[in-house]
Amino acid sequence: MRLLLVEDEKELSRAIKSMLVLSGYEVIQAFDGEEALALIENNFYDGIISDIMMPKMDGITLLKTIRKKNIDTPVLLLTANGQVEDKVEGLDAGANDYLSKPFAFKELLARVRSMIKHYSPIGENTHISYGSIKLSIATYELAGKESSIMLSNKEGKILSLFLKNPTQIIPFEKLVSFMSCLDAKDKEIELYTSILNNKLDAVNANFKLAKLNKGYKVASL
Amino acid sequence: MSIYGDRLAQLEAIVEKGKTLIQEIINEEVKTSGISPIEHFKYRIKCEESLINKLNLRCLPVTMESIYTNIHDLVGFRIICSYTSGVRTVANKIISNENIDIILSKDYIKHPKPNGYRSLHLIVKLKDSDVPFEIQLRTIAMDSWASLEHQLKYKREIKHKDLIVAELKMCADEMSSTDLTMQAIYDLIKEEN
Repeated sequence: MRLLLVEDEKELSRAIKSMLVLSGYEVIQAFDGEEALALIENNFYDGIISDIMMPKMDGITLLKTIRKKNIDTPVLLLTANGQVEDKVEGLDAGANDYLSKPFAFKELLARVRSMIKHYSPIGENTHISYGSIKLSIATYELAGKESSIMLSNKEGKILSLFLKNPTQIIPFEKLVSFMSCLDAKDKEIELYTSILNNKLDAVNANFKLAKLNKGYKVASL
Repeated sequence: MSIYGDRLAQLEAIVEKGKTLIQEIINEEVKTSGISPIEHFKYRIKCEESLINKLNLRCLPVTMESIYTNIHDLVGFRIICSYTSGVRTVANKIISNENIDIILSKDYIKHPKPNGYRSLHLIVKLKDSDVPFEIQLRTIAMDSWASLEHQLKYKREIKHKDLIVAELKMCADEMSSTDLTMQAIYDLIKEEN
């Protein structure tokens, strides 16, 4: 699991990172909102832990900006103790959870686990629209402007992940979590992305899934 | 006596030339890639009953002139391919054949009909003939859907018509989905060998 930690206090950031790494997470650090935004736009994270008070761009603005870009990576906000307004504003802006400083590391770990476990890339929406297509979550019907096609459950889940993170490279390791054959991971990823590309082409989608060094990414045609 | 009169022989000649052309495509593909993209093919000269129905439906007179001007599938071929890539390969071979003129191409694979029908239709003419004829190309899955839908369409008194139409459309979308999955599997195997 890959987490982005956005915290401007270097000592605190280092301490949180060490603890998360010890618990088995891969942690990437950002020290202000702008640096975090650039990272989020181009990389896939399973979760984001972000402070609110930060230089250049505060945590709430960062959250609003990424949600506006249809990136719905789960976000845990770290708020100053007792700042009810911060908590309310954060949740309204699309935070999945918050934790007041100072906090016990054990609680932070529990909240991160819970946030990632309960995250679903489709949320409560009935469909995802992206580019020229619309994907129904109830039936996994993939519809273009003048034709439609049915996707299997697995294909639907994989495509949802891409459509909810359209600017990011989805790493191979993340895609493996959708796969069934442990002995044929790479081939299975290749097969499923190729199946999805055939089906996107069939409904005349204006994008496809492109293979890059570290994973696959939505690419405009 | 056939409704086509003296011109029946002309239609029969088109059938023979068409059969030869398709067989040549099969031979060529087997020679270059070791496998034919064509699973099987059929052909027919339009029967009298179907011809008169079509003319009546379009309010056209039943005369020889009207038949040859308005009906473009007096001779029809249906080529069934194993995979969607095969449909494209065979269509390109037909389009680039120097003995054939393409009059019209209707791509119901890229742009399926609202009921879900998928197929590639080519209206063509042999260089040495003035009679147009139709070549339909589709996969096994597209063909089985079209055949079953055709049978169901002619059942009398269908209740819940909207429901049936919507469900048939979903079957077409599901079968097309399977077609494209099979295509990806085929490509993966081909790439590994």
